Amino acid sequence: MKCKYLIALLPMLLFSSLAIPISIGLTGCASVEEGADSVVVNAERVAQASFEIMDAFVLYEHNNREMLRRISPEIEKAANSVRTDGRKAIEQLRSATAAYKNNRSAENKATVDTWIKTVEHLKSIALQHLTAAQRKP
Amino acid sequence: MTGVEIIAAVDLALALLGRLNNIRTALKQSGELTPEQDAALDARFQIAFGEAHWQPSNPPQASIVSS
Repeated sequence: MKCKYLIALLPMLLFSSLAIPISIGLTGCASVEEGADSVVVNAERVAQASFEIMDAFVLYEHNNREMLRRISPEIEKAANSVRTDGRKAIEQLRSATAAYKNNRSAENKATVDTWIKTVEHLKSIALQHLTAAQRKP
Repeated sequence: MTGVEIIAAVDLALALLGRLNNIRTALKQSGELTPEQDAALDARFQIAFGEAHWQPSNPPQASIVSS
């Protein structure tokens, strides 16, 4: 009996340890070494960390689809949105970052910022539905 | 909790646990990626995007036939 509660609590504890650094860390407040461009460093951080969250979410949804369909069909819809829009946004962010590295213009910086916002929005959707999924069992 | 739910909870715990190190590394990054690291990251994304769990599913459709 106790074991069941521990198993149910385990993802919640892990989720907390994951969500807190992400919510703080992706705001761009972490340090940037001297000589490095904060636009590039932030864009690369966002792409990598957001990918991890999105990948964890779509993998979890894929592996537990039937159970999650019973909890809420919205979880599958959100996962499909991450699979199409999230993938595109990460690819666009990576392209925009590469373009900015080649030509550090204000216009290219604006494109990077736009895709960072889109990626972070889709990462939030993934986090939100991971939260919903981990609270239900 | 049913058996399926226990398995799902363990699966979610493992999924989250496996991400912590990668996320911590990404958030600690303080310099720009080198061209080699850039290429490796893009390759990693493309491999992942080709995997089954990144392919959109076909959700069950509501029946359009009235009963």
